[in-house]
Amino acid sequence: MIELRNVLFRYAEGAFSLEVPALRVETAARAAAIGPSGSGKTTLLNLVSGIERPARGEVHTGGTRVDALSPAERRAFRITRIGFVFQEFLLLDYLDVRQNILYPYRLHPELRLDQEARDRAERLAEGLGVRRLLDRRPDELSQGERQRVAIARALVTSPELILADEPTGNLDPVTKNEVLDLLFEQCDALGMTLLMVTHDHALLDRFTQVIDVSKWGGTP
Amino acid sequence: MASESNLARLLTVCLILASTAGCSKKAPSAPQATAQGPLRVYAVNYPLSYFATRLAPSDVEVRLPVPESVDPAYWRPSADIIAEYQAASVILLNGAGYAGWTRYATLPRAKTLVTAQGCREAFLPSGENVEHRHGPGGAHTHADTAFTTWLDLRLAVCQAAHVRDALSMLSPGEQKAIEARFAALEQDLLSLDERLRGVAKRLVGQPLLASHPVYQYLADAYELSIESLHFEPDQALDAEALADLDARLDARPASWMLWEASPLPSTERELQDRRIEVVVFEPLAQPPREGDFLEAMRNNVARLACAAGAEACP
Amino acid sequence: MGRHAVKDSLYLAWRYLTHQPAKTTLLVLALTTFLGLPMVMRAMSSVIQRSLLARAEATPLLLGKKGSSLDLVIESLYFQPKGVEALTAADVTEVDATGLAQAIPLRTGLMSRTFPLVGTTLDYFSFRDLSLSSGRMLATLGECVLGAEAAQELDLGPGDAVTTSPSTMFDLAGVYPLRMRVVGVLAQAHGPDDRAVFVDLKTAWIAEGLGHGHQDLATAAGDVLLKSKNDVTTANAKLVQYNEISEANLDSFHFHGDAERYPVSAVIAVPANEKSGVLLRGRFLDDSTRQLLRPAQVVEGLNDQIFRFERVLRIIVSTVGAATGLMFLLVMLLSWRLRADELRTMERLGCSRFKAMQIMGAEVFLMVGTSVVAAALFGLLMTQYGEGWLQNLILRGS
Repeated sequence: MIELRNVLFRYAEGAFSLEVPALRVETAARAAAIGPSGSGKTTLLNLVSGIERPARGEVHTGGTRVDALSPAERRAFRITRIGFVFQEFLLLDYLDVRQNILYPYRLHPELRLDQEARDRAERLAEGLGVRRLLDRRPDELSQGERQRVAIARALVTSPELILADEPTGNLDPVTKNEVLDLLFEQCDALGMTLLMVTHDHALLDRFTQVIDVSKWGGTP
Repeated sequence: MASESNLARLLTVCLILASTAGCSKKAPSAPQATAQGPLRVYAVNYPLSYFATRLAPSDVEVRLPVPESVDPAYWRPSADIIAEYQAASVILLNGAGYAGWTRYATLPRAKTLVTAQGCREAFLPSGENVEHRHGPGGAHTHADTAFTTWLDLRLAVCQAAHVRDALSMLSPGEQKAIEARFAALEQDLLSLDERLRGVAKRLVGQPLLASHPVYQYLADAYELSIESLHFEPDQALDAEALADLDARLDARPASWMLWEASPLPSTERELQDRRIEVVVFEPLAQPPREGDFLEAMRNNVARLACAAGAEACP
Repeated sequence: MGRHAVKDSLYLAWRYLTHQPAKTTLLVLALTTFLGLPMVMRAMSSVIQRSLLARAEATPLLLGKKGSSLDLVIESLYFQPKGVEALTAADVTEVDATGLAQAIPLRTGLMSRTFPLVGTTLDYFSFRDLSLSSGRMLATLGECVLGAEAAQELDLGPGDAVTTSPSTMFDLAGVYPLRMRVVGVLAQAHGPDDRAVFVDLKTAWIAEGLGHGHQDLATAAGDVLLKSKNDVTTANAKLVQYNEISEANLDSFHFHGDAERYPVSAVIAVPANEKSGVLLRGRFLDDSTRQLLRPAQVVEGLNDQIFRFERVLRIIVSTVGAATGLMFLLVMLLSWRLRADELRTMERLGCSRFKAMQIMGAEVFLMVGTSVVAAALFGLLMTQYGEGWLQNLILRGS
């Protein structure tokens, strides 16, 4: 699913660089990216999703060479084939839960908000235990409920790959496990590859692959 | 003069009506008979009604809607009757405060003509003044003005002349005919005036009594010395009235008493006992039972002349 | 597909705007005001042209005391009290006496509830071509005829009564409100006459205390009379003065002093023809205390002023509009800056720049569109129903 070859990434300002000689994540794998702050974990996600382009090397995601795409192609690629889960949830306060889940459909003409999409949103909401909250707004939900909605949003377009950047970072231990269970469950059920950034080493044994980014990136 | 303002107003209205009727630039025509009916002249008393009838063309209706038994001076018309006056082509008012109802009625300024206005410098007082004061406004008088102006026949001619002018404006096409009819009326009134003067000469300095204060203009114009009382022709004289009469006779003996209508026989007897001759001189505010204004005035003069010995009695 | 894309952008814009009702409302109001102002100005010009000027043109000449010609016209034609100095009844007679014009007196300045009381003569009604919709015309003192709107708002008709409003609360002379009988209601005239309460000129004089009716002093009880000597009778404050003219007390009503000196606010002079009008104007040209003017000329002057004002206002409005527009843009930019996280999320999720701009544009479009619609509606309502309100605004502010 994901393959990086001889990738070098540098930010224009500052001395940070990320150099990945080789990285491979198999389809349907559950991979965790670990490393201290500033080691390049989020940068890795950005390279895989096409948000950033490497200065050198190749980034293959889902069989597509992402670094070779134009910015518009990369956006289209992201929205149709990748789902994102963020640490801060990043739900929109002015949309209810249902519309938050369906949000990606409104952002790109390639995605058509039809009945099938709405039904899928309902099923995901059911699976993630937020069906009863569909008419509520995010500020009426708990942290755990919000993250579950964010997960539903990430899954609603049936992407091949889920990129989660510390999705449980803002959750308490109990909720954290609940959310993770649901995320793993949905990914497994839908055959999606998961690449998740995490600081929590206690969770590592739940992943099929652990990627230590610290050996590749940082500021010397 | 004030009378000129009346006529000027009427003329102006006629011109305005004419100019807006056809919006044409030719000489103004008279207000034509409308779909509502012919031209109507409304008067407030019989003399004016008589003058208008004598002078008006045949297509002009003259109306005096005062009921028979009511004195026009004190008549209170209903709102419907006032509406009739409002709809008239010309409203002939007497002037001198005649017909108190015209004080409080809403009549179209433009169509009213105060016939006696400008006919003399000042109207005569009735002699019935009551001065009073209330509030901060100071003293004021509800002065009654004498209003039987037509009993001065020269003043009557002046009033008739104003009626002529109004009718001429109303029917400009009939002006010559109206003028001719006025000349005849004027002749009638002036010759009667001359006759009355002759009779009055016989009575100069002779005190006369009157049953009511309605002869002020007669007295003033013909130099008659008349003292008025308040006797009703259809009411007997009671003791108080007789006492009042006697007191006046003591102060000023009189041989004749003018009455608006024939008094009761008992009244006549009382007067005869006091050597007072009854002379009926109808003020003619209402139409006489017989004849018209001129005939009735002639009869008035004849009776006075008879009493004065100026002419043979009828 | 393009249609759906626009629909999605509009949807997101709509949800965002309705989520911030206060901010959205304020912005829309600001834009509506900016867009609506020129419409109000245009409506005002149109009102002046249509109704104010029409009424002025229908009034050939107006005689009044020397002073503000605009105040005279406003009070006499539109019945807005401006406190103009009064002429006298003698002036009415004078105009009549010229033979050049018909004189129609007006006594204004008094009120009956919130409606102007207008004392005049019957000639006024035929002059203004006013007809009755119910009841009858004025016949005697103490009666009134209501304009169509006055009757409707007061819910009065023939047979009812209405009272004058005292002109000053502390009038020591004690001018009591006069109760008047409604005898008729006029048909809609689409002008100031609709809101007036018409009375005979003499009734207006009584309403302002120049005439009154009271108990007969001859038959009044002893405690009413202060003294009675010779032919002079003085009454005290116990004397009952009537505040309503009825059949029973009509004869007691009277006026004091010379009626020719009684006040008349203005005289409408209707000349017989153009030449008469010119001659009449010539007579008053050098009058030091009075002015005879053409109301149309005065209102045209008002129109010119408003037109000049409108031009200046257009410049101001354009400038303010530009500033409003810039402020609006600034608010939008600041708003989007505050929503940077949202924009970043959109980008990370894969939203194109064009799409992001489309969403932003949709917000602007919705607000501007709503403002345009609101301003248009406001303008339409103003034109259809605001004539009276605008007329009052212009006349009260003049």
